[in-house]
Amino acid sequence: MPSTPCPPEAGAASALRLAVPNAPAAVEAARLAVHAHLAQLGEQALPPALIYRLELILEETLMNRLWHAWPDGGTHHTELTLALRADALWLRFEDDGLAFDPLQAAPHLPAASLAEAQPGGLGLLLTRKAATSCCYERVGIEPGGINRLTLTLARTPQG
Amino acid sequence: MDMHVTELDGPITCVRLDGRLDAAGADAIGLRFTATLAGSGRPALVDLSGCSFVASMGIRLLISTGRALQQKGGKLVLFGAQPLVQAVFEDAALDQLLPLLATQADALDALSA
Repeated sequence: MPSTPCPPEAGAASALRLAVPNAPAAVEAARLAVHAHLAQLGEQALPPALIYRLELILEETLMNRLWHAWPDGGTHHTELTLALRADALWLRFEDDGLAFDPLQAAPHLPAASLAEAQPGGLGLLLTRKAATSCCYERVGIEPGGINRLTLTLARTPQG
Repeated sequence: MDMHVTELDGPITCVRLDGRLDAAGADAIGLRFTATLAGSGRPALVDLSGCSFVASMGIRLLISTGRALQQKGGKLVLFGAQPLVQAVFEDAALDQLLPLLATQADALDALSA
């Protein structure tokens, strides 16, 4: 998946904006909220493969933030924006956690055997494969900077 | 996420998973899944036909359980993955680590191979 210039803000009035707390149960709540939003837009007929890719990105990105963004704990949120465009789903995740560029993270390498398999990086690999484009920016003035990850998922008949 | 355990002739342990094998699903069944499959060291099957979604934590659970069973001399074979789940397994190169078969009959053949 190529890293491309960051797509502009979704801008659509119909975009979904969610503040997702750093709590495990919030990931499933966010998934259900996204489905409710898409249903409200009359988009129940999105291809199952596209829905799967969307759910995979939600799961992997929100769980990554939950585990790694705030090592000191406390209550924090990931701001999620979702917009449905004619050609693509547009997703943005923003959080005030530790700076982390998933596009620069060490790639997950396939293991030669079960005994050698390493668990790290699999979520990032699946996110990259699920997205059509992905862009990371660190915005704002440190301390107090924001991780901003913007992804698109192209809409195709196959999803 | 639900898991149902049956014992087949052999003896072979077969676990059927139903639901979403995401981080929450893997957390819900993880200890019991690994204990059931790796505890005895018997050859084992995992029926994924009722599993609608798998993410990285689910794949980690399958790998860690397969490895634990292998260390006891057993073998883990997966079968019945739905097409979208199968595609994620291939993206993760899981098919290089654990046998992924279409049907239970194919999986039993792979166990005896």
